[in-house]
Amino acid sequence: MNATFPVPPQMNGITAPLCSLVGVTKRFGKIVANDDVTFSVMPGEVVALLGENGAGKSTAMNVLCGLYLPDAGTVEVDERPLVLGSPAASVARGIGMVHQQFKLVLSLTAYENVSLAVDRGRFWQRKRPSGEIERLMAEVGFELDMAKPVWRMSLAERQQLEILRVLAQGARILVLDEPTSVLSPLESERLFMLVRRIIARDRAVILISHKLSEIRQVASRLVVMRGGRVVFEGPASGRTSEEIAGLIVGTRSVCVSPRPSSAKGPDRLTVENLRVKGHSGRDSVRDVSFRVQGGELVAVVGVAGNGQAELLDAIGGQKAPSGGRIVTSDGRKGRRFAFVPAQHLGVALAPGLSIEDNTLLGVHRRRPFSAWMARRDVRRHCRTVQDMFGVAAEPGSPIRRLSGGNLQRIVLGRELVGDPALVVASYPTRGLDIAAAAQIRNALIARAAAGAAVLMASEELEECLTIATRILVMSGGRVVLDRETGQTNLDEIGRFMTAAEAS
Amino acid sequence: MTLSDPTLLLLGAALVSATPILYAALGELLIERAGVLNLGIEGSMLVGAVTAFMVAHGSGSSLAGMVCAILATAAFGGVFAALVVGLRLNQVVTGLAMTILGSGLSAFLGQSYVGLTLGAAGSAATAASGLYVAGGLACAVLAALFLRYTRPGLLLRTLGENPAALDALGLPVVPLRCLYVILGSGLIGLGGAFISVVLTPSWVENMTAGRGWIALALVIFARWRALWIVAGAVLFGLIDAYRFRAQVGGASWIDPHFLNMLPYVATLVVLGLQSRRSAQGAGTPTLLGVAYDRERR
Repeated sequence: MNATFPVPPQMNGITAPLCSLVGVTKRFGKIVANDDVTFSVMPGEVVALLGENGAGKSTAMNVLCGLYLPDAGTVEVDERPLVLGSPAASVARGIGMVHQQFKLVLSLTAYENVSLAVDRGRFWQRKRPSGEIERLMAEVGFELDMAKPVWRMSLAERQQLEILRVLAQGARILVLDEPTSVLSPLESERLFMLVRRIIARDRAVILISHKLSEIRQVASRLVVMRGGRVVFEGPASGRTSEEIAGLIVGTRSVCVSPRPSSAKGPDRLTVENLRVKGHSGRDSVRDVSFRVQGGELVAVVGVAGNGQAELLDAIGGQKAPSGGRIVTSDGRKGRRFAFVPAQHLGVALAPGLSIEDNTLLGVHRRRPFSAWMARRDVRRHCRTVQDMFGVAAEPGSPIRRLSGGNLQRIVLGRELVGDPALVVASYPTRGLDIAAAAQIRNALIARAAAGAAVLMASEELEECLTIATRILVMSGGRVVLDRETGQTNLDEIGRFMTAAEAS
Repeated sequence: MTLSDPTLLLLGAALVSATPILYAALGELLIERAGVLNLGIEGSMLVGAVTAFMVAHGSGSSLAGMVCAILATAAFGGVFAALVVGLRLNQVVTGLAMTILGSGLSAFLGQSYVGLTLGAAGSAATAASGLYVAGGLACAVLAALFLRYTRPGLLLRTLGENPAALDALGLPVVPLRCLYVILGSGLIGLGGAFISVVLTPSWVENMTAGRGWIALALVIFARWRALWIVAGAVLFGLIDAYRFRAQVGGASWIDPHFLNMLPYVATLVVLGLQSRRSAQGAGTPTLLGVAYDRERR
């Protein structure tokens, strides 16, 4: 398996590219996901692959690692063509990808997962890693318990395991798809140190990320995609975040309105001693109390899996609390505040229904609707929701055809009809591209400025520091920090996010 | 204790009754561990049963009947694999269709064999029934060892848990799934063949009498573990043997029809208990019944 790979050929002192995509085109039905994509990766480089959702980054990477068969184009590794559409061929040529959705088997142990990749050709299964894996772990500085089942590992540990597995397969081109979305700032820092160590050995890393600050920190070259094409390729040094953002979105302007003033209104949401049980049966929210007043935009942050999602689910009524109280200002009968769950398709929206029907969900009992749905009222309501954020689509078409950004626009539009006094949004900008995220943020800010209370969970600290008036940091299911945004900073938040891990 | 000891006789009869279910459940175990829900199990058993009887009757060799039954049901399973793994059809609907097809096909093929007996081949097979019983137990032990201690076993477990992981590593998901559907179907066919050649050497329409469904329930009851399948099959065999004795003896303090129902009650109870466990503890292959489509977004 770990055969020695040929040293990259040298030509007149100029290093040849480790791998290149040449004219890669991939269509899904009518959608052209990749249109003549061409770029190369040199050894020792960190290439940041940038672009909005649907720009074609993941498609290009899936072509590289053999999961998608392109309609046209070639991929070269060490200047020799790669057999396309075969993950086995890509793995054998040294391409390894850490997917955003980890490709790990939860019920197996860490070692068994690594073993799937490296122990090819044996019959009896080893229970313990070979010395080679131990050496590799020491080299990259991981301390993983290889006998632990993956479902008991944290997301950061799972990511390390994925990276370990990819390196153990002998990968020289490592693709990381949004690796830091599950990490705390400190863990991200460690990951980037690792990335620098990986590339020091004539390997290369392709990094897909939406977080511009980390790109400026670690990338040596940028490849920007828009609408399935490569629109920019060049060195990363000396570029500001604004310049990079401009490359990504093109001509459209993206600006976030100023944070709402801190004039506070009455309490809109009170949470007292709330406890919520998680999947494993243990409390994932422990004894949480806080209030949100009108005019406030409160952001709940933390490393993924520390209770933020469960807290917002409980407030939104998707999870029954096992203890404590949630008081909202609008009485008991049905939810009358805006709630944006973390998952749009399947939770906030019914994928099989039309856009029109989806805009009715949850509001179908309000006036002007009654037991009879007048077509005219339904149409008008749908238009109101679509116009809220400018979603241009046929009201009768199935909602699953919309892009992620438009789905979130529909959800938020539906929830904001009637100007609710409380807005609870769980990761409203997760996975959205820059333009859509800015629009959603502006809407939340506008609601808060109009006197509503807004509570949101987010995994982007910079977003929170820009738009929120108050920050709650959760760790181990508790709120460990509750500060006005002006009185805290990124370092402090980062410290508190990882505080519980030490104890 | 002598051979005529009634307890021992009952146990022997129980093991013989358990054997067809044991083979079928082990076959289903392989298929479900690979992530494919095979509801065609009853149909496969019938195809196995009728093939075995026809070949054994024609050739006079029960062994030839068994081998041909395995091959025929493997082919039958191959059709199922092509439909649900290759073309990604709905596994529940396709599986039920395979059961109906299998029962119709076997009735059609076997119509001129109804009422015939195997004669010498039948008595020879009955005499060798111990071998088939032992073979079933050996298969269970082998399956348990295979799943637990071998790399192909690890791949098999992964097939049902996260085929995308295997695919990303460059391991063949579709061929492996097809392989296990075909292998498992062969074992299921052997279970059917045992009924028509060894247990009651004759052919009657729908003679498996729901044993396929019991095997399906057993896999759930055993929480997808091979050795628990043995325990479940023996338990069912005991009920079956007791029921048979009660019917022959005429006196019974439990209605045999009530006993018939017990395996299903046990399955429901196990399912009910399982719902309280976490997903990882329950043993259900996570992606059981979900076709793997690499480019689905």
